[in-house]
Amino acid sequence: MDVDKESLDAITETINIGVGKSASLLNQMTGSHIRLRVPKLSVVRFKELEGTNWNFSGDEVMSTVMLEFQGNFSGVTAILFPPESAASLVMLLSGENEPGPEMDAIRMETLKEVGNIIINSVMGSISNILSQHLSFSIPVYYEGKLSEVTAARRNMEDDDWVIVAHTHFQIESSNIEGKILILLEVGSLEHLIGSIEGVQN
Amino acid sequence: MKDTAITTACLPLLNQIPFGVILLQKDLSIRFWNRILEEWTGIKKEEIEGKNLIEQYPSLNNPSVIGRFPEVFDGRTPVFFSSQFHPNLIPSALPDGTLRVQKGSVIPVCFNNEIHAIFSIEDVTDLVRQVTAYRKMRDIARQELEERKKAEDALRIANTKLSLFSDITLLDIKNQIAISQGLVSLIENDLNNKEGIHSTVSDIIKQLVNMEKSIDLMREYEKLGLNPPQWYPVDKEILHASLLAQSYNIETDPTIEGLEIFSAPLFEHILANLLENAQEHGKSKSKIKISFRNNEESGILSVESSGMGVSRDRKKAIFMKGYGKKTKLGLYVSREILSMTGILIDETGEEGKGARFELTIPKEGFRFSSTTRSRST
Repeated sequence: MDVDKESLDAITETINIGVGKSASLLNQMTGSHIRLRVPKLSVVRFKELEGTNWNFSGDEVMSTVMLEFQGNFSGVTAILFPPESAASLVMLLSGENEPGPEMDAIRMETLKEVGNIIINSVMGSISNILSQHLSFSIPVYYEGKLSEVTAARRNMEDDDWVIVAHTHFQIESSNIEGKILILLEVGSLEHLIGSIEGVQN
Repeated sequence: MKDTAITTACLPLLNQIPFGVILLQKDLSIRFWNRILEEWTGIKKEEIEGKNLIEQYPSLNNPSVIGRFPEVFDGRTPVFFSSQFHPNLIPSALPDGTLRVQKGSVIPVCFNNEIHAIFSIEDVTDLVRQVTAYRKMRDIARQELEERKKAEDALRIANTKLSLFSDITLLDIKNQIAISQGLVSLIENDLNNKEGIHSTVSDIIKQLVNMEKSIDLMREYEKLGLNPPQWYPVDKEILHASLLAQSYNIETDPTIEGLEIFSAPLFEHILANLLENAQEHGKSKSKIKISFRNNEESGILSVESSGMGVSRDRKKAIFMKGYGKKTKLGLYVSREILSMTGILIDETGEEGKGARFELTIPKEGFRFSSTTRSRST
């Protein structure tokens, strides 16, 4: 199945609506001026994921918040941050004045909540378009390489689809980068694109 | 992955788990309140079950907590609350009177065939205290490491400069010995010229005094190589410096109260040298004013007097080697010593109005002692 430009634009818009909602909630919670946007989105096969242009190295240890979902449309949504972006984001959002890139237990929990807010908003947008409920696991925080994160989905096939949303977090003068990864099991992408086209028509 | 189903028979099990659990209906009325919450809050389940959560805990009624419950009831998405953003979800005091630090999560469950939510609240006070203590220890260790590194760097620079100073001073002494030897030859060649001998001996004594000064200076330089830089309380050092320079007409501005400066050894001699120079370029009885200002990137300690000041063509010359040394150090040596910890010195006064010596101190090179810090920063 080829993913045409229109479908890509439609998925990007759906995810942008989700991240926009989460930015609004994070603004209210923290009093910071946060802008979240997805300027670029790609859809790749699971086997091609490691070769995707990530802007950061596949060997880098990522701070990751993951949420598994099931329904007609199943998989896992993960939001990944390079370690310095993770620490900066937490510091800026929480007003914490503790320098240093270490992700200690308090920072991990904070990032887990931030990731939970973003993922819930994105998946909320997708669920709305699908007009059906998805069931979710509780969010988990994980630190590891990209390959370790994807290995968590043991039942993924090489030809399964992955939506990679390159996300920028802009908080006042800082520009922090993160990635939202949506790993979809077989058949899910057709279902998603079909539903999006249905809404557009 | 369907919504977890629980039955009335399961509820007593929720009394066994070590964190607070509330079973909520979609209208946020409380269906179940577990034993831990009874312990934490002192509110018995009979008193609270059936009541609305928001009415009992109005502080939860904000977009970041209750505002996210529809995600659970409508979107079936679990919601997580961190201790950083929501430290007191269900406020409850510990025996020492402080509030428990909490984190929480809300997950959808199916109870009696209806969507409900389990709101669980975990006590993470110990964890947060441990992390906070770890952060403090880490910061102290980091600060000590930085100070040690700074001191080592300064000591390395000091030893390099010390070697340079020693070479220069030894050369001075050698020159003074050569001059003295020449003067002795003059006496030997004309032993009958009593008047000439008297004048030449006086010149030899001058050379000996100079040699003594040079040796004293070398001794002071040795201190630079032996001791690392340290924090100097400016108000105390001014008192010390005024005695060294015999300069007692000093007015210290309140801005220097509690000020400490990180400098290589001999800071009191440097201040004495500045007082001496301020006096020399001011009116004979003019008051010397010492003040401090913070300019974001650096701090500036100013020593100023009113009077004739330093003429434009001498502003650089006064920092050259050998220029006017009443106390042990000249401005040249003072500048060299201050530079070891990144401090710059300049004369910025206006000719005809007065002399002003300014030390520009990098921001990591000054601080205020804890008793005055809150006022001064």
